Amino acid sequence: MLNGPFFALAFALALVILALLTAVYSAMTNRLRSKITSYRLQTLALSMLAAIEIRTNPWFVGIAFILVIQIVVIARLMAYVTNDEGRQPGQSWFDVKWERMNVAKAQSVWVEYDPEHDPKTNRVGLNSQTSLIGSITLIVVAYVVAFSIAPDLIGKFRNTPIIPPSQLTGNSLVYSLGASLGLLLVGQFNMIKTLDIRSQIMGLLVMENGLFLAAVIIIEVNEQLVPAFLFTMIAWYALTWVILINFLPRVKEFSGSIYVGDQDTLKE
Amino acid sequence: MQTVSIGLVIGIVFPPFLTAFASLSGKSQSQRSSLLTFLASVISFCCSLALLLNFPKNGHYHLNFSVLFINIFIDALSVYFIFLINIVALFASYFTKFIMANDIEAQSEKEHWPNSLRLFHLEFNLFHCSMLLVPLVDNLLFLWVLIAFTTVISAPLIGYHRDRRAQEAAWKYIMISSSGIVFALLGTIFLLTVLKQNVDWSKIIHYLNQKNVVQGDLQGVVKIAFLLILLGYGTKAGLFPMHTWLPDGHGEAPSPVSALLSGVLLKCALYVILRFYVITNLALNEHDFASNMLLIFGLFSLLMATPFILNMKKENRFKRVLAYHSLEHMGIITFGFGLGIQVAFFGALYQALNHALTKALMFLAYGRVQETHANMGIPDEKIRGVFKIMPVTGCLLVLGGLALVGSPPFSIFFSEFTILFAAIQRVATNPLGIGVMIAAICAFLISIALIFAGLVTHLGRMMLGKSPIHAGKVREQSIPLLLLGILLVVLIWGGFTTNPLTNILQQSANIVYTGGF
Repeated sequence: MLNGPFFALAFALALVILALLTAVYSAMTNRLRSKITSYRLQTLALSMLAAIEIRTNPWFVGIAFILVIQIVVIARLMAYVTNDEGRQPGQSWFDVKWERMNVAKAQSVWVEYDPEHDPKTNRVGLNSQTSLIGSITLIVVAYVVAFSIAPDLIGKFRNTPIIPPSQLTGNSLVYSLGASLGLLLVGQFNMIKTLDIRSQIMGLLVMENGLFLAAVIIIEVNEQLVPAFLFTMIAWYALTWVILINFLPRVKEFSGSIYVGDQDTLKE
Repeated sequence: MQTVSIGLVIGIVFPPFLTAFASLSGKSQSQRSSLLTFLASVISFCCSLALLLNFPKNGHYHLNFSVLFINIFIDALSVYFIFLINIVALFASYFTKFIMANDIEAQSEKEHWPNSLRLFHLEFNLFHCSMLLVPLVDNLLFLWVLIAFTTVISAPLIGYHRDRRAQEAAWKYIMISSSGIVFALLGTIFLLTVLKQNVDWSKIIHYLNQKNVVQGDLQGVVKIAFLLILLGYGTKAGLFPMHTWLPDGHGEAPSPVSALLSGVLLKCALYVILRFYVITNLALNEHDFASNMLLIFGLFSLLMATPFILNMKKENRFKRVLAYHSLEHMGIITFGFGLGIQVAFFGALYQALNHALTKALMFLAYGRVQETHANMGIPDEKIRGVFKIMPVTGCLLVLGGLALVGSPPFSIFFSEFTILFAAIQRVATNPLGIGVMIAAICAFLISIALIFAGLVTHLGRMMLGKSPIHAGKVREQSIPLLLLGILLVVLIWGGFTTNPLTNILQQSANIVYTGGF
């Protein structure tokens, strides 16, 4: 990954750093709107990274395309699970669903859950500073692991490197591997520390972006795997969409709350 | 023979697949849909039995499908797991009929769920079908997709009962499973990076078997990859520490679904772990690392299950206790594989089948008791005196319980004893050291003894005592009792002999040990 002209490399590294920063911000904030915005920014960065890679493998067109779709639909999906379905007489099925995806309408609901409006949002869990320290620590851990794995992969101690040698591969591999692990860990941290089930999904999506970065490494090694990985990505998005559309509204309907702390009927 | 095997594979996979969509057509009729589901399971089971009985010694079938880059590869291990899935599905599918009959009344009250019955059969059959595909496919990434798909399709089944507890359980299940499985994909990516091979496991194993081991400095990456895979698929296999969805999921799902989840889904994830276990062993050219990891995860799962089974609080309802038994048994099975010798693999594979059958018996029999009480408005935690009102079902439940805790003459005793025998054999040679192995065996025995006491107490409380139903005996239907009786006979048969599975079990144990090429 990232081998090529200096500007392409610098640009790609900037995108990776942007992806990490947005993940940290997503873990820090308790506002759903901010989480969605940072996720969209992160996915945009990754889709641009995929666009850079198109020159090495045309299958990246598909990967970039899927990421762009995700940027477009995520806010509408979150609106869908926030808004209630109100059918007016004479309204078609499509109109009802489209109305439910109204982001502006959902935003007024999301604002109500912001920390300054809803004290429940702050009642347990971690504050922004602790989350910042936590996520940065996790990224450091990820990079320590990446630095311990990568010398093996790039053949620092070997005669035959597993990654094809190129002038910049060594460093860039470490960066992308570290960033990938970092996004996974911060995404998981986000899921654990978050207080409402809508934000939990955003953590899951950050984890998915981490997987995307890991996939870029595999593609460097074996180009045959790209189509298989593309299908894996599609399957993953299908999974998250099903969770969003099918389960999240049901949990809210039956428990009357979107807070994780209120989902407590199944304790020993 | 190749043509016959293609026909059998089609016969195994397509009936549940077609029934899934057939159940969507026409009016929502419980009886018709259940009958179709049962028929599909019968056809699929017969085909898997035919495949099992006619499987050549040390043979394998390789079927290429160029669509979506997916190949099908069948060896003895695949055949064994297909048989395991289908035998549990066969019994579970018949019992969907009773769950439905029970829920039709509830549905009439909640008219905004008119399609739930049809959707149940769609999901049940697709769930069955996706699990059947797991032992068939060769592609490691597609294997991941299938395991992720089983999560999506089984979560609505867990949340089938439209109440708060069920929705909460489904939510927990889907969140824990999907976040766990991400790590499995990352591990797969690491492994594929190092091996620089095709995504098909059969080709990877073939390549590694030709003495192409991973060299010294890359072994660390393989080890990290295996740990991530074990953590990821271990979430679906219900292994400690990602087992927390298990009691909620099994406890809230309708009984046939609980039987499938506990009996089969956990084993599907185990199957995937086994394939990676073989690859890791061959790549590292040693059994110690992967085996020790399995041993540790298995032992901790077993130990973690013990206090929860001993928990006698009211909130710890019987289905939750059974779910903790799944944790215990998955622990025992993983412990068996962790011993790293063929006798232990034989025992662990046999234990997987025995646990699946016993758990099916327990969940289905308890499902009948639960439905009878639910129809009279009695919640689970107040069920008492089952012997008085449902004597035959009660007896089956008690015998099933004794089988579950590993009493002779049932088959679990046989397989647990084999694992224990293998563990004692390994004491001197295990790389963890004699002291650690003796401590592990002692912990294993103490846990099993405590769990025996725990389950007997739970069963005693439920079977004896004063029943809240005052009407005397409840009429028990004969066909379900007959089916449960057959299951019990199979369990007793399995306690004396492994026939007709001996050959396939030996081959499977050999595959886990050597890769099979």
